[in-house]
Amino acid sequence: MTATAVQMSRPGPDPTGDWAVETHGLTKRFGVNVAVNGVELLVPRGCAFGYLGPNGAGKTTLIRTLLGLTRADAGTMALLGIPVPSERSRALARVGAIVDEPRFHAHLTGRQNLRVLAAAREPAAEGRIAPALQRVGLTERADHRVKAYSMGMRQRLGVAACLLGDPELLILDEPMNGLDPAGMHEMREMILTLVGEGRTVMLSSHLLDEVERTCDAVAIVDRGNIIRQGPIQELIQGAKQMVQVGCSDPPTAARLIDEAHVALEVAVGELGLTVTLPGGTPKDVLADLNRRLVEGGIAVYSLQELRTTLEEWFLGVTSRLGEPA
Amino acid sequence: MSDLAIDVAEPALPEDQPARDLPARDRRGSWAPTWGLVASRMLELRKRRGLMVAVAILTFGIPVIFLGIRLLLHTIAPSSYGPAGSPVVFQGLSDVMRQFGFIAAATLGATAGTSDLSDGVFRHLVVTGRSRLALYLARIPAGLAVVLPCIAVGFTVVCLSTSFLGTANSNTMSFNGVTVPKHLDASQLKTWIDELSPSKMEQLIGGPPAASTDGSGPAGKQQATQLPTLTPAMIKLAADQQMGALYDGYLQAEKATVNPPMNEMVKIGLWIELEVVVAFTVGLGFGSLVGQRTVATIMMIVLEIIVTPLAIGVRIPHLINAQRLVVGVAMQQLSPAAMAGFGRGGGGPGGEGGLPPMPHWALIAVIVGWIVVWSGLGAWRMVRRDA
Repeated sequence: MTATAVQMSRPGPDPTGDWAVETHGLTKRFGVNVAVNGVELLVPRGCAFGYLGPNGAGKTTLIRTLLGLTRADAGTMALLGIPVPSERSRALARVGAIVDEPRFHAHLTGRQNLRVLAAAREPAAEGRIAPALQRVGLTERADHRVKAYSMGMRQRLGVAACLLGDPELLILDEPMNGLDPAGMHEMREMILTLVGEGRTVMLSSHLLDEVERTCDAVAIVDRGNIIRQGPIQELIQGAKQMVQVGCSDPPTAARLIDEAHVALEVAVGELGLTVTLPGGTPKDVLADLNRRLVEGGIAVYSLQELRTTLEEWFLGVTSRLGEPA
Repeated sequence: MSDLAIDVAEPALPEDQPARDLPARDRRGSWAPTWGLVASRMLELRKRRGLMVAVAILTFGIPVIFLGIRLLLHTIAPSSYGPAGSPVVFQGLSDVMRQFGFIAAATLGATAGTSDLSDGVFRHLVVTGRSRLALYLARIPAGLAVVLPCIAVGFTVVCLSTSFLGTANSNTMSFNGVTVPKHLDASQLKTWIDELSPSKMEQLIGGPPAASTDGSGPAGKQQATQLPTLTPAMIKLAADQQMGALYDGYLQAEKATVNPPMNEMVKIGLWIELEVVVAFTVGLGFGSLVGQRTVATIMMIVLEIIVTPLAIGVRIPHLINAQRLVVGVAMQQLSPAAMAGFGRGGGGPGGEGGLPPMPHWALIAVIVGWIVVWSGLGAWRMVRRDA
């Protein structure tokens, strides 16, 4: 996966290709509202991929469309290289998914719910119930009714249900919802382990921090449109660079830096200067700025590159900056 | 999730599937439900305790309790209370089972048609890739496998109690106070009456014919007391004139005192089971169509206890053919002869004041039509529905 993925020409679905999920011009409307607007999404195989966006951005609608839970109005899509919805059954045979919150028959036990779901899959799925329960740590509570389960236990049962099909691709919609910090940590560990086994995990979330910790690549979605997609590090590298400069005479230092014509913005603050440089500025430029300040008689105490977080970058590229969450 | 971090380090799940193709035995795209799918739907229904208790009460609970009480009372005071089983009890309980069986099956069908939606499991099932049509069709055998045995158990209890806990079948019966042999046809009855003494004959016909002599059955005893004593010739004449009505009365009396034969019991049992099949499939289809169990259940009960009796009992000019399209009308006209006089206007086809009889092909067409159309609508909605 590269940052150039969105600039690719539109290839047809390819079972041998590198994409676990591939959509072209995917559109879903609800009346006049366009929930998914011509989405071009490419999710590489064997990675954790975050589908990131604020509430109401169309994340769940895209997942529902991919899984055939609702019909697309336009566009093409493929899962694991198999076109859907034309070959939906074949594609979904190796896909596990949680959509919205995981809900089950409350009057059945966890094990019985998995039996119901396994019966809808291939015969071998029945044999995977016990390993799946063990894997998510529900073996001891498997014979309790689901109505007595906590939200976290239901999330885990949802993951167990996903594993019944021994999936190559897992699509998890807001998997961290309702989990306490320990539960989120364990879910993150499990996702990383699944990816380590060669599976692809696509998760939607509005939790930037969790996506940054869990995923290798992201797509940023806002109002039904994908704004950017690519590896997180590459995307962040494309953002503006911030450098904090601690010095003896900030106003003079600001003037000297400004005269170098390399900075986009220089701000004088209590802690010194905050210099904004274009994304991808070479380290040599920082060394040159330091030399100018010293030669100008400024005592430089510190020169620290500020790491741009995914959240700062996200707020910078989406239109939701300043809007209430 | 305390032990999750440990568990995730365990080996991967069995890798027994080829990478990108469906396994050879996997036919999840097929519309035909697998046995496993049917069994899982049955499990989902069976584990609904409240529903199962209601179905059990409505199907075999009521006859068992009713017969148990009658048996107890008869055991305690046989002179005051008759035996638990009797032809009249059999007919009454059969009709109760038919009506309550309909309601139980309709409720079960509506639940089967909506439970996945209301519990939020439908989307989990859809993302397995299994054909939605197969998911729908699996519910039909699953639900019928629950409700049909319940009805069978209840009806078997009724049949056994009628056969073994009732009055033993004798060769004679009391008809208008006269002991009469059973199983006579019209000519045999006439011959037998001709051989009676004048007083017995007068008692049998209930007195002389009315002054108007319209030939409409035996006159009442009150009428007889108002007339002078009759000669044997006049009594014989009156008996001859009323022979048709006498034979009808004889048959009714025989039916009320003779247990239905085994083949008639089987017919009634199959008829009740057919009613249950109709109720379940229509409830399932309607539930799947509207997506709400309560609405579907209420509408089915309204159909059974309001619409159907009205359609059977009231002849609406210009709408007779529409009335005939009500499935309950067809079911009533299909009822076995032993159920005559019971239930929704009773009496098989063409009951008095009701609709004229329909040909058998029309009865079958209406019943099959209801099953097919509602199943089709339910399946269509399930296939098209956003999950």
